[in-house]
Amino acid sequence: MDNLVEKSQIFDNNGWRLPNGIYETFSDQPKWFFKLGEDLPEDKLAIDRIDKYKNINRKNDALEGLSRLNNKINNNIFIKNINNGIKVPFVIKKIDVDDIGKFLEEILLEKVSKSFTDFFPESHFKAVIQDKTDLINKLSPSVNSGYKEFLNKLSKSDICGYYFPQVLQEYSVDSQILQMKEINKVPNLCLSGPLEVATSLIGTPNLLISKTHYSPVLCLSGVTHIDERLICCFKSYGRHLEFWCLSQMLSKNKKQVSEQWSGGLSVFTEY
Amino acid sequence: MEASVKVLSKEDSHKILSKDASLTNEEDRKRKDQSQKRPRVHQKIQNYFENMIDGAISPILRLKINRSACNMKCEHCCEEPYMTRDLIKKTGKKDPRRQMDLEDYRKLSEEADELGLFRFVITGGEALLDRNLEDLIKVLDPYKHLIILDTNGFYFNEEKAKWFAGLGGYKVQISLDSWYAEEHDAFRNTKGAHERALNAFKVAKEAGSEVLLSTCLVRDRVFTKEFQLLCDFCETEAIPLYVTLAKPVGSARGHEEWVCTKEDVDQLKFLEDKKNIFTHMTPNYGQPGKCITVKGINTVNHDGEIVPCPYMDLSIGNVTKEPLKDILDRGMRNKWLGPYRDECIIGENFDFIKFHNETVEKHLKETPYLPVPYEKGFALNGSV
Ligand code: SF4
Repeated sequence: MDNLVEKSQIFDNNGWRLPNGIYETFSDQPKWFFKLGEDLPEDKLAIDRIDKYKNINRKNDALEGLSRLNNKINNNIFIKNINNGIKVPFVIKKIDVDDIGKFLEEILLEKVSKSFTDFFPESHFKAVIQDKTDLINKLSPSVNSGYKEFLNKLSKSDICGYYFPQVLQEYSVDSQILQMKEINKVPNLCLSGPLEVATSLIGTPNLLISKTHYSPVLCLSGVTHIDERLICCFKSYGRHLEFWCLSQMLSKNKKQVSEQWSGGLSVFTEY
Repeated sequence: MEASVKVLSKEDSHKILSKDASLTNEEDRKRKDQSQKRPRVHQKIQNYFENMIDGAISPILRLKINRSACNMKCEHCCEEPYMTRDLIKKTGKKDPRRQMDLEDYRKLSEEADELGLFRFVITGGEALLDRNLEDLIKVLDPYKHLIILDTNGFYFNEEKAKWFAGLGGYKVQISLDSWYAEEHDAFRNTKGAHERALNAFKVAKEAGSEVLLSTCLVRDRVFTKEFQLLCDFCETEAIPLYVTLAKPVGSARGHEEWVCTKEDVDQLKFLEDKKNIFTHMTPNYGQPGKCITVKGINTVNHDGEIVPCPYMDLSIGNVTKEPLKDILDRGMRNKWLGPYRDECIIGENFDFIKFHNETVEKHLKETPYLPVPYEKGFALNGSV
């Protein structure tokens, strides 16, 4: 973070990534029709919940790490505006993940589902892929997304951080990835992907549930599917939570640019 | 009766369902049925399923026929401004625009077949009032397409049921606005409408057609005892319940108290897991639940104008003037209509509702004929 390339402001007052003209976005300025859930838990509560389902190390150190990270963001004039958007904490125990799809499918989704349906006993969790088989060996870090570095760091130490779900609201998935080229020199920042988004949802199961508003579709664009027509995302359906591996094709030669789809950025640190 | 959405038990809910595994047994059964009865339909369904990943769409074409003539006069009807009785009241004459004829419908059926579309809903007004209905069903070709008849059931007796099934018709969709007979009859301004509708279900089933009960939900109805009774009836009779939601358009404009809220919609989504109850936004064919403008149902007006949602009055092109494919492609590129979104834009997105209603109002000052042509409506939105 301290080595941030000093350049003009990259997030607006809502914490939205400012497009630079070449990025494909639904509009020049989101209207924020799609909103995250209300009454999201404080960091401590969210971390307690992650601990309950994922068993983390040194909870207090993680909370201190988050607080230090928050200060760092606020003290950095170039990225501090990202903090104007909603952020969700995550903590992940050191782990070497060599197959992201397998880890998501066999470990993470079960925990997301458990945390969600314990929180909303009347609702369902559901996972569907618009494909014939499964996710094993199908997901890899997107080019320049910083996700490889994120996984590298995670293989060496416990990590805590914040997921900013609506930073890239309205960006096409290709542009979510492309915009990382400009900011991938920022250390400890990556395009959000399955590991920390799923963990954030475990800690904050009501992230996408609102009585009054539709919520964004959270694209996991830190990873790319072997079939590039497919993307992974979490979305709500009424009071339900769903994981989809979904086609991003609007037509044979054109990809979605949707007001509802959002990419996230994750800022993290070892602790 | 199986629920309309497949959900695994809580313990297994994290397990990933592939595209095929996400189908309900009922979806599977219907598909297998078509491989015997209508191989061409089966082939198109399979192709759509394969090509979905490329963004392929396969919308229903909903044909409004016979100038929307109807024997009833329902309180919530969006069709009234299209009807001759209304136009005569306003202008003294019927719609002077050229109306679709059998040749146009034959051409439309062929174009739809080439594009892989496989469903036509025939509606009015009341479709059964059309003397040319049999010829229409024949030119649409009930073995190339699934033909679904939308009716208020008043004239759908045993004879009609046999006639429809004999022609190769696939499904009969019958409207019932309330489980309570007096309410339904009052709403429809027609005594005996409820009784006749119930009989229509019976005779349609006996004749071997698929059936569907279609009901319009106004705000809070989903939480009422009456709605519960309607659900119970559907469950006992094994009739799928298709729910449409009141929108702030047509005759419901100015009746904000009818319009469903997100809470109503969420409650329906909750019931879909438990009962065979669904809206046109319910997840199916391996697709998530979402607004289905252009992708799901397009209405073909009497004069050939294509409207990308049953509740809108704005067109995306006229099928008597240009190929269906071009019209659908244009619709998919429209900012409001093509890109993915969950909410019902005509029911829940106030920016869209404002654009829609203002455009319609402006148009109606110049002419009484709906829908608003593409150039004066949707062309004003951006494209993606
Ligand atoms: S706008 Fe509403 S009614 Fe129209 S297609 Fe979308 S969800 Fe259906």
